Amino acid sequence: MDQLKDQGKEQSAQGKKVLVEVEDLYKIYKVGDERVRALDGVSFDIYEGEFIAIVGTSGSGKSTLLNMLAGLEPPTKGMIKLGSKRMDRMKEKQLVRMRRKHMGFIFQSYNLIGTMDAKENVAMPLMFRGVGAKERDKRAKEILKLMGLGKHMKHLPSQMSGGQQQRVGIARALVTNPKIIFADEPTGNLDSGTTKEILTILRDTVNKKNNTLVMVTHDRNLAQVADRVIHIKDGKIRKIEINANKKEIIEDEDY
Amino acid sequence: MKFSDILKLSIENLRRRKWRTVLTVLGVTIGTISVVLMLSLGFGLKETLNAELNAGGGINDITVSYNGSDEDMYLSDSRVEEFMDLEQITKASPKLSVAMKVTTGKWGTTTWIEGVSQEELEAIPLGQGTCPKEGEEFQIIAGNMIVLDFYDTNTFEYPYWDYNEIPPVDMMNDKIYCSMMNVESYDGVNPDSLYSKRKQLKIAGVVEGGPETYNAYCYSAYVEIETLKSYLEKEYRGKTIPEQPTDRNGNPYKEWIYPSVKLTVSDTALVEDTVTYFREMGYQVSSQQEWIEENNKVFDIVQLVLGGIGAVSLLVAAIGITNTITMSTYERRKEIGVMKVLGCDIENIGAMFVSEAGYIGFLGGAVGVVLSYLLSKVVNIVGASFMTEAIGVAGNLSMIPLWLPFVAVGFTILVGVVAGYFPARKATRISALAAIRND
Repeated sequence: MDQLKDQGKEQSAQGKKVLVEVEDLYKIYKVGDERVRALDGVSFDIYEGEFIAIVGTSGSGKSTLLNMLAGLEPPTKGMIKLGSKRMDRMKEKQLVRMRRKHMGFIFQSYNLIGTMDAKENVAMPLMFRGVGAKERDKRAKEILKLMGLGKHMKHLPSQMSGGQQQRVGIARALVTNPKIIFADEPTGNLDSGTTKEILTILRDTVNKKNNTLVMVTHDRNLAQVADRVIHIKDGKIRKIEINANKKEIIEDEDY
Repeated sequence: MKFSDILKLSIENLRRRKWRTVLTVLGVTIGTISVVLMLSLGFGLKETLNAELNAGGGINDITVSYNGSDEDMYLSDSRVEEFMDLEQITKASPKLSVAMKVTTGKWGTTTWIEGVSQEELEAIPLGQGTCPKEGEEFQIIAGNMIVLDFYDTNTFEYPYWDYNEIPPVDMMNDKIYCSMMNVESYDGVNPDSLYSKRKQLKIAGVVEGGPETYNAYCYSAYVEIETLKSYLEKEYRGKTIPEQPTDRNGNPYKEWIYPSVKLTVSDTALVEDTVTYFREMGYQVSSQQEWIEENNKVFDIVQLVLGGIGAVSLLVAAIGITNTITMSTYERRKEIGVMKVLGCDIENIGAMFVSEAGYIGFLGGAVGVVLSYLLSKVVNIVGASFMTEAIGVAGNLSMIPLWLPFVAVGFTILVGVVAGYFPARKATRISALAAIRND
């Protein structure tokens, strides 16, 4: 346990700046009389400009971890620090503000607003920030073009394929140029070809724009696109894999 | 988030569920119509009756009367002159009234004959004849509704009150007789002996209006007061004139004693104080102003009750709004979750639903006000005969004051906002995790 904790921490020595600091994080659900430890003492750091993947099977606690990093769920115990701010001590109102200012979010089922066209969907986070309609429009258009959706700006989600919708979702997450982007199984609903396409976009984004990206996936192969892969099982970190040189995916006997 | 964006999103969401929005708006529309129409009935009645009262003039007039037995209080000529010495009194016209039996053919009735100043006499609007000039012989102006009170002197049946037939009496052209009441000649058996010998009565004119048109002068007969006095003095030479008080020994006073005096106050603002002044002296005082105020108080209550009845349907509409917004929050759980994840302020989410509700209120109110104007017109057309028949005044039954539509729409917006507040607050509590769950 301590070893793993150290493994998570020691990399800060490499001169990278820590963006998120997670220490001794617990999440305990009460199911009837039983206590379920969804997260059972998790510690690690996320560095600026890093693509990090959290991998685990369903029920491993990976989604719970993501929710907590994004401030969607409060931890039972432990510390989450974004920059210098203690997210575990924040009220919902402050957490919403944190997300608005610093975070982007990509969902498995895209979660686009069905009545809004692609451009309006992308512009929505800017609207929440109080950006004027003209400026919103301009920035949404730019980013949609970058995503190769120049011809689909006026299309409703129902008029687009899954891959296109997810690209709109990515555009929506990037439009505010957030410090950190969370992606919850971003390719979970997509075929393998489209999955590759989406992962490439995510990888490129981190490389070019130097955003920090946290992706949750159940697929260890997909996780290899990340700089580091956190393997999680039964609420505990089992292994942290460093792909500094984008080496081939190595199967682990542990699980 | 900008307020204009919140409004835009709300309108967008209302459009999404057109049919439901229309139905909820319809509820508010009906509520608005019922409140506005009910209130308009109150305003209409008040306005019409006040106009009628004001038409009689005399908003600055007060009537001081005394019917007690304190000698010092009697409203004699010298007392009236004392009143005139008061700074705020610009005019004083004493009144005298005497009962008189009027007959023509087999028809008869008893009517009050009022002695008024020449000025007042000339102010009475006439339908037939002309106003007698000062100093002319004894002749009267007859109220236009006196005709209704004639009864058959043989059968004692009232054609109008018993059979709703107007008695065939033409005050202007028939030969009319009058006899004065004379208590001293009463033999205790024959009611006719109560009256002096009949004389022909000259009718100078009849008050404007048909026999069923109410106005301030319709029920009595009028004559210039000095003419009446000299007529009575001649008629009751050496006897006590009816309605005139007597002293301890049963003898009449030297001066005329008036039952009431009409005083004109110089300034409308002084009317109330003047009324109080005379009241404290021990007189009975009535004023047009007080009358109007009393009337208005009654109508305020009527209006409150009517408005309350109308408000019930608005309350039902408010519940409809609450229901619609609640449904809307359930349907959009996921969307609200997504918005929260993407950093939409909790207050903004609440504001979106509240403004949706407010918008429903606004639409319902606006449509309701427009329809109220149309229905008000219909009510006035249908109600015109009701006004003249049941209330006896021609005028509008329903009236919508200029400010009412604005207040009504403002109020329906408020109703919407209040109705939407609680479901909106519930919506803000929807967890951001609703966005993550795949269902």
